[in-house]
Amino acid sequence: MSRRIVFVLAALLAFSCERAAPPPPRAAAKRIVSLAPSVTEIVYALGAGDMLVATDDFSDFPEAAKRLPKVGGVQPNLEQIVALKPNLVLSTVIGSSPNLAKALNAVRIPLVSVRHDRVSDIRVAIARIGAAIEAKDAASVAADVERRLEAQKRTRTKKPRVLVAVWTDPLFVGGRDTFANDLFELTGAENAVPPSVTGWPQYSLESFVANPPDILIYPDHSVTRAQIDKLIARTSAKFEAVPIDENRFTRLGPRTPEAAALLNEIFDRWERTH
Amino acid sequence: MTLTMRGAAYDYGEGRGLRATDLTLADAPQLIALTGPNGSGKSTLLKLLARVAAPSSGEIAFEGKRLREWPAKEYAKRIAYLPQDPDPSFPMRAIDVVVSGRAPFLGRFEWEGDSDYEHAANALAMCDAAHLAERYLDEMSGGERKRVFLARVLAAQPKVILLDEPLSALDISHVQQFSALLRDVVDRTASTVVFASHDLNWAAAYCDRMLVMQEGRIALDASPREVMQPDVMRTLFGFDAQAVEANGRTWLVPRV
Amino acid sequence: MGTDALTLPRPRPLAVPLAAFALALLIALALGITFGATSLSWRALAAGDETARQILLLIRLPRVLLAAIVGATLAVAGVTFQTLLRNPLADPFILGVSGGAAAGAAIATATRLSLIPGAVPIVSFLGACAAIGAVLVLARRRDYTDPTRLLLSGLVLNAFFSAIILISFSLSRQSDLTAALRWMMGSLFGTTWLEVGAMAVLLIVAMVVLAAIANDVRMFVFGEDDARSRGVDVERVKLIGFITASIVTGAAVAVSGIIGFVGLLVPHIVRLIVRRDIRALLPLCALGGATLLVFADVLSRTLTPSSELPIGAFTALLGVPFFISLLRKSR
Repeated sequence: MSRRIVFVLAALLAFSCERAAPPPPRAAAKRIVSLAPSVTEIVYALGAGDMLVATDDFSDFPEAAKRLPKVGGVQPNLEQIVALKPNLVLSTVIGSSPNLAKALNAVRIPLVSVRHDRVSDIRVAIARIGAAIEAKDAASVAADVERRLEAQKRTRTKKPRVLVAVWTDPLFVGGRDTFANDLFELTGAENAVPPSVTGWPQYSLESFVANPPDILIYPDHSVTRAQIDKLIARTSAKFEAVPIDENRFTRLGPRTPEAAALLNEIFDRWERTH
Repeated sequence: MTLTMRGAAYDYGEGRGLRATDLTLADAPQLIALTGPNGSGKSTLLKLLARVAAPSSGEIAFEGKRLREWPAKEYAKRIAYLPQDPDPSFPMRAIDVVVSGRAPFLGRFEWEGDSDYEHAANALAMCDAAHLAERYLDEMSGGERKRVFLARVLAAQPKVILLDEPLSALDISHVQQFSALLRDVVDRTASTVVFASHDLNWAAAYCDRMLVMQEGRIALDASPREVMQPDVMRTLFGFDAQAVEANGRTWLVPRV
Repeated sequence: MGTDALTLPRPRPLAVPLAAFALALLIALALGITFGATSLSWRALAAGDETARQILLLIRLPRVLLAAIVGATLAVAGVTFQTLLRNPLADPFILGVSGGAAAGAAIATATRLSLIPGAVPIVSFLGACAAIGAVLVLARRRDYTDPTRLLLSGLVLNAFFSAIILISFSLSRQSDLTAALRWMMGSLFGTTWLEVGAMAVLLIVAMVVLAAIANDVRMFVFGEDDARSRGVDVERVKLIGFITASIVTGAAVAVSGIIGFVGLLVPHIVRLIVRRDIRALLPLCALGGATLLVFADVLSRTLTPSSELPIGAFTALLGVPFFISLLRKSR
C-alpha cells in the first residue's frame, strides 16, 4: 500500500493515461519481467508463471514468485532488467516512471503498463496482460475474478461508515474515487470521507474527529497498532480499528475478491454488534 | 594615567606583526602620531593597546595593573578604539552610532539613559556634527562619517583614544579639519590621542610626539621637529626629502 | 554649546511597535482558532459537546499555539544569526541544524524507530545537536570561532545530511515519501499539548538568554574588533548565541519539520518597519514570526476542504510580497 502512496504523492510525475509501448510485443513472449506484485499475481493466474524471469522486490505471491530473481523495489534496476534479456516488461502505470518507458524503448524492450486505480481496472489489466502474453484463457480468468467479486456484493440495512488510513502522522486516507471506495461500496459500506475528498490526500485531523468513522481500516504492513492507537486517542468517539491484509487489499488482481471477503467479515461482525 | 607596554609582541606568522616593543604613554595628554610604512606594525600596536588582540609575549599595563586584571568593560570605558574602516552592517542614524559608544557603561538588561544621550550629544557637538544627529550614515560624506565615529569614541569620555588611519580616504580639506579636531580633542578633554597616519606633514603639523615604526618595532620616538628631518626620512621611510620652512613650521617635500 | 539632550532625537518608544505587533498576533490567533477544516459551533462548545471540545481544545488550539511558538523561535534565531554573522542572508538552519534534524528523522524512519511514538522528534533533535557540535568544532581555530568557516561548515554539513537523507529514504522498506515530504515542507499535523509546552519552555529560556547577551550582540554590527574594544567577550557571546539559537531551532524542526522563510524574512521585514538594534528586534521578531506562521497555518488548513497544504509554501507566499512592498516603500 505504501508503495502506491509513494507514487501518488509524487503525483507530479504520475501519468493518468496508459502507455502503449512501441514496439508491440512479439509473439509468445517467453521472458517476462514484472515490476508490480499485482501484475505478478495476474501473470500466474493466467497460467504464465513460468514465463517470468524476474520480478520487483515486493512480489511474493504465489510461493514460486518468491524464488524469482529481483530487480529492485521502488526504483527498478534497468541494467539488471536488460541483462535478463526479457522480451516483455509489465508494470502498473502509477508504478513506472516516465524514464522507464523511455529507457526500455531505447533498448527495444516492449513495456505494457496497466492502470491500477479502481476495481474496474482489474478486468482491463487481465485483458491487456493476457493479450500481451497471448494467454488463451484471459477472458475466463477475468470472468472468474468478476464472478468472485460479485459474490461478495452486499446490501446492508445499516451501512457502516468506513475510513482507510494508509499513514497516521500525518493522516492519509483513501478518497471517493479509489479502489478502496469501490470495495467499500461493493461490500455494503460507506466511505466516511466527505464526497469532495478524492484520491489519497492528507486528511485533516479536525475532520477526522468531527466525523469519526464506524470502522477504521488500516493496511497491516504500513501502519502499526501503536500508530493507530495514537491517532484514535485524539478523539473520544468509540469505533473499531481493524487491520487488513495489505497484500490482498492493495494488489488489484485475482486476490481482490478475498480482500472483499475480509471486509465482509469485518462488516458482518460490526453489523451483529450494532 | 599611564599606559605602558613592555616587550609586547604579536606574531601573525610569516615574520609579520609586532616585535618586542616598549612604549609609555604617561600623564600629560598628548596628541601622538603613529607613522611608518605599510606592514610596519602600526595597526597591530593599536590593537594590542585597545585589547582587540592579546600579545603573544610581553606585558601591557594600565595605571599599574596588567591588562589581564582589568575587567573588559572597565578597560573599554577608559581606552577607546576606532578601527580603520568602520562599516556597520546595518543602516544606522548618527545618534544611534554615537550613543552605542556608551555600551561599556550599560548593565546586562539596561537601555541607554538620559545621561548617555547627553554624553552623546556633547560628543557630537565637539566634533561639529550635531546637525548630523538624525541622518543615516549612508547619507553622509566620508568626512562626516569619520566625525560621527570620532564622536562615538568620545561619548565614553576615555582617557586614551586610539585611531587607526582616521585621515585615510578623506578629501584634503577634511584632512586639515580632522587633524585640527584631534588637536582640539586633546586640548579640551585632556585625553591622549594616538592616531596612525600615512600623511607625515599633517601628522607632524599638529601632534606633540611622533612614533615611527619599522618592521615591527618603534624605530624612533621623538618630537615632530626631530622626526621630520631629511636624513630620518631617508633611513626610515626610504623617502628622498627636502625640508622647507613655511608658516612657522617645517614641511618635508619630495626631492624630485 | 552642547545640544540639549531633551531635544536630541531619542528613538521612539518601543511600546508602540510592540503593541502593534502584539495586536497583529492576537488577530492571527483569533483567526486561527475560529477557522479550520470543520466549522466550529461555539454554541455546541458552550453546551459541552464532546466533539467540539476535542476539536477546539485538543486539535486546533494547540496547533495554533505551536505555530506561534515555532514562528517566534525561527524569527528570533534568524535575527540572532544575522547579527552575529553580520550576514543578512543567514537563516536559522545555516549551521547544519536542518540537515541534522532531518537526517535524524530519516534515519529513525529507515530503521523503523519511527513506529515508537515520540521517537522521531527525539532522534531528530539529537541529529540537530550533533550537527551543531560538528559545525562548531570544525569552525574553531585557536579559541576563535571563525564566522566564514562556520558558514562553510554549515553549508557542507547540510549537503552531507541531504545525501544521508536521500540514501535513508531509498533504503527504507516503506520508502516513506510521506514522512520525507513532511519534513521537507514542514507540518504541524497532530500537535499535542506536550509539544506546545516543551517548545514554550525552550523558547522562553532561549529568549531570556539572548536578551541577556543582547547588549553585547548589538555591538557586532560594528565588527568583531570594534566589539572587542568595547569590552565585549566576542568568543563567549558567539558561542552562547549560536548554541542557544541552534538548539531552539533544532527543537522546532524536530517538532514541526523544516519551515522555511520565517527565519530569513521576518528579521528583514521587522527591520524595514522599525530601525532598531537587536535589543528591540528580539521581541518584535518573536511577535512577527509568530504572526506570520499562524496566518500561514490557517491558510494551509482551510484552503482545501478536509485536507492540508504544506505550510512552508504559505510562509513564502505571505512573506515575500509583504517584504517586497516594504522594500519599495523604504527607498
